[in-house]
Amino acid sequence: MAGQVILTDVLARTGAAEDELETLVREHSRLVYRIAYAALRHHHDAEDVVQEVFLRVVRHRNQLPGIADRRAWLARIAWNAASDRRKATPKDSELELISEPRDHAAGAERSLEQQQLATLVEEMIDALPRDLRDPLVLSAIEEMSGVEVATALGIPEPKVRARVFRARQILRERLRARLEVQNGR
Amino acid sequence: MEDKRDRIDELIDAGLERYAGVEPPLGLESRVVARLRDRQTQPTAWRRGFWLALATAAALAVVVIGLQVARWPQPTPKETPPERATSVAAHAQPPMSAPPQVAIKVPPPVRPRHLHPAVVQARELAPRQEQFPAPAAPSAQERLLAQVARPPILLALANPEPEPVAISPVEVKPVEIRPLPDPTPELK
Repeated sequence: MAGQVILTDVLARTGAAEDELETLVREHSRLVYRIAYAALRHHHDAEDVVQEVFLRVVRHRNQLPGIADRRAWLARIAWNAASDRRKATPKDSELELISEPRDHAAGAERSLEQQQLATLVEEMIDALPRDLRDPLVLSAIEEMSGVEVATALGIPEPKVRARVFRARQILRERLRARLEVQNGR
Repeated sequence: MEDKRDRIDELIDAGLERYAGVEPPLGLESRVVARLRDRQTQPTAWRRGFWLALATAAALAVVVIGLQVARWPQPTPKETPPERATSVAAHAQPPMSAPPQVAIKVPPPVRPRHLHPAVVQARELAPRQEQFPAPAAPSAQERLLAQVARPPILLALANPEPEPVAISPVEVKPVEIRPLPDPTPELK
């Protein structure tokens, strides 16, 4: 009788844990994917990172009940996994980025101009130092708060804000200079 | 000036959108969940290793035990001590003042662990103590019992050393062969 009760309890707990994990995947896989993509700029790599992140969660699921902010926790795992992968793989994702079609509704000419400018901004963002680029890119993800970005990067929130401000300032200056050169021609 | 600033900010946001505004591919959640379920149903590497090691250890233990059992000598039947065999007589008769007999104890077989093959062979060839024990002299009670009962075997037990019998030489008479009588006298 006692054995049956224990078995039922264990089965219930296992089922509950699986449900919890699936809920976690369904709620946060989008965020994890965006973080991974922001770091890697490659869809397949980003998807692999999502898989890796949730496998890590499975391995450390005993810690789940004690985690207060699961989004921030997942964001940190995702950022670490993506950073590990970024170190391991060479950077060869530019072609994929450039070939992505954007803004089909706009006219062809305007679209082309916007794409060129967006590519230019991308190059500028890529050219930023990593300690400025990472907070800027992560804070651009709409779901992520300043606290979550700070947790993911492992730095205090005021530092995140300061770095984002500094990164945008640099981008503005460089872009303005570039546009002035283009308009001057 | 303000318009230009807004335009630049828009451009920056558009550039950042390419980093952060991507949508995950269709079916990502389902693929992740399926992989997690698959992973949970499969045994992990350490579990597989544990069961493999356990099976190997069990097989090894069976082999070792089998070898040890094959080396062990056959179990010997328990010998009844002489005091116990004569307990009936002891109860029937008053205790005698004869000196107590020291029973010959057969030492328990020592299990050889790793002996030289020649030693093992020699032991196997020699008569085993447990199968052919040295004859023990009958106790005083046994001798008394033999006197009472007097069957030949017990008499022999009572007198373990028989008195020497004088053996006279066998007298062989010379063989005498007489001629046979003639069977057909009428024919003569």
